[in-house]
Amino acid sequence: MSKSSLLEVKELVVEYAVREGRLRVVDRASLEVPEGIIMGLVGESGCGKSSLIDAIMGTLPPNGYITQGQILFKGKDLLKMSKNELRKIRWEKIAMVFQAAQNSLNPVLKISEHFIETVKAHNGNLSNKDVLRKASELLEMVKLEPQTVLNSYPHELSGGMKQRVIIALSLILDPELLILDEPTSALDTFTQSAILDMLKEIYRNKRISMFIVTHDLPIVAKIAHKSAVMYAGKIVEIADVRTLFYNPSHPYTKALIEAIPSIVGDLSNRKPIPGNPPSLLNPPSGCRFHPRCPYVMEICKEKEPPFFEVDDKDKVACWLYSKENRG
Amino acid sequence: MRNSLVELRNVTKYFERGFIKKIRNYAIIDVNLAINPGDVIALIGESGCGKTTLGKIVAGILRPSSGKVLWKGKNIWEISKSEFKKMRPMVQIVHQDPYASLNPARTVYQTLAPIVKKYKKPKSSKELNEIIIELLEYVGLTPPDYFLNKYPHHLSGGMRQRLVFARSIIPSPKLIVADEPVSMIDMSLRLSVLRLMRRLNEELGIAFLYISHDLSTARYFSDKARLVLMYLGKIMEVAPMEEAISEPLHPYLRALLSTAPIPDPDMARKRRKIKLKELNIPKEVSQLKGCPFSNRCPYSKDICFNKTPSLIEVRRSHYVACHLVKELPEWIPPWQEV
Amino acid sequence: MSFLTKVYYSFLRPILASKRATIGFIITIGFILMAIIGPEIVPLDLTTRYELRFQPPSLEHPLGTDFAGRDTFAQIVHGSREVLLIAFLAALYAILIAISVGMTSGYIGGKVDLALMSIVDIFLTIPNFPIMLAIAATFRVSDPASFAAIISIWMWAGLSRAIRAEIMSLKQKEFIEASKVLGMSNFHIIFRELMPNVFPYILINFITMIRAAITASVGIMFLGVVPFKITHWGVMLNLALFQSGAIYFKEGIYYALSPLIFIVLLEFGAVNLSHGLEEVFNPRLKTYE
Repeated sequence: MSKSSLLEVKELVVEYAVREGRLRVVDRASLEVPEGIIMGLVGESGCGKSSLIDAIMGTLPPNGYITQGQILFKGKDLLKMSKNELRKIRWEKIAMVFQAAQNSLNPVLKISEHFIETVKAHNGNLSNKDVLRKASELLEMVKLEPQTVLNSYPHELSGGMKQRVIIALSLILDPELLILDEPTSALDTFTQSAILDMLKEIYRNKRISMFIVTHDLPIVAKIAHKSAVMYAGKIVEIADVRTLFYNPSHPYTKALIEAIPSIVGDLSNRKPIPGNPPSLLNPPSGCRFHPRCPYVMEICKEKEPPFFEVDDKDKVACWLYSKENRG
Repeated sequence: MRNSLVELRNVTKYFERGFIKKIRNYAIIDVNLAINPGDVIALIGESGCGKTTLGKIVAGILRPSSGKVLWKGKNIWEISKSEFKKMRPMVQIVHQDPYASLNPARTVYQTLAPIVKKYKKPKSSKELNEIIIELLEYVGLTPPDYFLNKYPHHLSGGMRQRLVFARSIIPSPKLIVADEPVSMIDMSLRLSVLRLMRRLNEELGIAFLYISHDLSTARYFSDKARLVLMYLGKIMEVAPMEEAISEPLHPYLRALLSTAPIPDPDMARKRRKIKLKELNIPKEVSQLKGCPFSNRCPYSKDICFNKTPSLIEVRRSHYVACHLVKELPEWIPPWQEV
Repeated sequence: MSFLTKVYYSFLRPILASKRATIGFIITIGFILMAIIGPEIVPLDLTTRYELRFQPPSLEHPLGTDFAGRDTFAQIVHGSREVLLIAFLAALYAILIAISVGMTSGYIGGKVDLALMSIVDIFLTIPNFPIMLAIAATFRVSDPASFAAIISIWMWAGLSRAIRAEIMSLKQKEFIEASKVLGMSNFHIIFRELMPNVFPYILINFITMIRAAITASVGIMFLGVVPFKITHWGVMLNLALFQSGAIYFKEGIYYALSPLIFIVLLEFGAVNLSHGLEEVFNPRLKTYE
């Protein structure tokens, strides 16, 4: 086990009520976000990662239900807390930057008012002057000119600027954990790179732990220390970033890394992943990846693999790594 | 160019807004481009650079504000409607969103059948079926019988895009304009669609205008591709793909190569960055005067703001639009150890 | 696929998927059957027998008798034919006009669109019910087809606007652009690409229009403006309330209420069917598979 987990998800199950019945988008997923690092979660569309963070932040849509599992923040289960206790944690201790958050800024409020409103909604202790002073510091951290930006309305700012405002906003209450969902989507290459650099700097200066959820592997390659990989509602591997890219254990991770073209290097060994993403209404038996796995064995079709530790940097849910098979 | 399939000469396109005082927004400024049979052109640029507009002009869907659009030497906006109708099948288009490109109320069979009937003129419904099945097999939608009655919402993004490609090759086109064809598809499925495109180019001889913001997929698509780099409506550099990446000339391309996402942790972190003068694109950019990259370019001088650089052949088949190209420092790939 | 299987998949299965639609469907089918076979099974005897007037419901007279001693139920059954026929024809005429105008306007646009929509606006601003009443009274229509025509004139305008809006938004979609680039004819685009997409919308509106036509026809008859068969429910209502004094007698209540109840029941069926279909056609496009 790691030194201390800030956030721990244990055997979480999230289901949606749809016309065809119940759709299980997160199926007994477990992972830990240790304190003091930037952690990633990668997965393709439909793998359940967005629902996972919705469950953590309490933003599931009306037809979404958490039917099993625990979400522990510093040891305490969020799912068992009272509304008041939750309010103190969500948005204060754990802040979130949503995907395309640029669109969630209120068009009739100035940026300064956004900061003041956010603080007011959580604890009315700080005076407006103090809030704005703090906001200016944060805006400088994201390379925005505080005076101009604070006095602007959202539509006066570009997409990249809005995204940076959102990041600054998320930090105003001094959270211990910052969750980001696709933080660089819809931004041009330079802005993407700049924002990732900023996140790293913020992490270093403020010692905030970060949890970045994305389908874009290069993001994780650039700033994460460790990352989990999600497939069809399950976490299939958790490893530190170099292991993930240079020496992945899970066949899906391996195949995914091989399926990404790059501007550098030899492209002849790139291969697409055969087959198609599985249906969540009728998922494959046993290990979800078995229909597409080049190493599939009989047991993979029958039983779901638990986590096996490859070494202290890599955990993988794959029968290839059970004691019998490795020994 | 005698041989060319599609040629754009001095094409400019602007969009006007406003009722009394008209504001002109230039999407493309004075662009020249020639696409020959079997060519693969990778038109690369960020969103808003005009590449989609350029694609639509090449495909004959959008009319330029000035300049000529020539298909097989004929100006398509000057010939008669019936003459254009005859040439219409020559250039086809594949859009970014495979779901929007398909009629949600039509099955796979119903989507393909009318087009096959029109272009292949099958003599019986049995022949029609055979052609459709052959098509589905060619694009990798197998087993074909499984797919015939499916609606678009039953298919994954990759499958939908294959169907769109299947549809687009029925008229035996000579050129396909593919606008971000894989950016809305999952990463694990992208390569298979890119491979399909490669087959269409190599086996059927179809030329491609591949429009994207992503250099890495363009590079994978075809190693003999020609890179055309656009920025804010103007072409900045034209070169063979591998040469463009190993010996980039334009500062914009150099900056892109130093910030483009790389799925390799060591390289991504050690990469040396080119610092831009400004991160934000200013709102008031004079679109016509000077080099569009001048306010961000780390090397820019006065001349860059005042005079528009023209595309000059600096090496064989390698063109750049930059006043300072001879004065730029030598290029060392940012991922290489110094 | 055989025709029957096609019908099953496109119509029956979606309907049965929704409770509302199923209830509406059953009620509607019930009325259609009543209109088609009913009059063959139930004899209509219009001889006056005053001694039997305003009888309460019994085995012999399930809904009692009217002011002239005649069986109410038989009259309702026979009247259903006219009611449904007029409503169906009116909705059909209105839909055909609305589709032609709406699709042409939406697809061609420009001056044609401007001209057609001006006409539509005129029809939309003139209050329809009073005018319908006036025309019906002036022309003394007596056959269902002409009557349906009059009603339909005032129903098509709103729908044509809605269809035009649908077409205009679909026109922008990429699959339409793709069809054009593939060189497909306008005919193909309108009938093979656009139509299937607006079809659910049209179907749902068709049912709503039938409902509106029932109300309109019953209303006109109720006001005694048109000399129609006395078995038409509107006429029955008119007779019941204005001419026979049924409301003044406690026993007359069965006679007075019968046509009303059936009208309400039929409209209830139609409403549920159309709402149910709406439920069914919308999320269908977003189904997981």
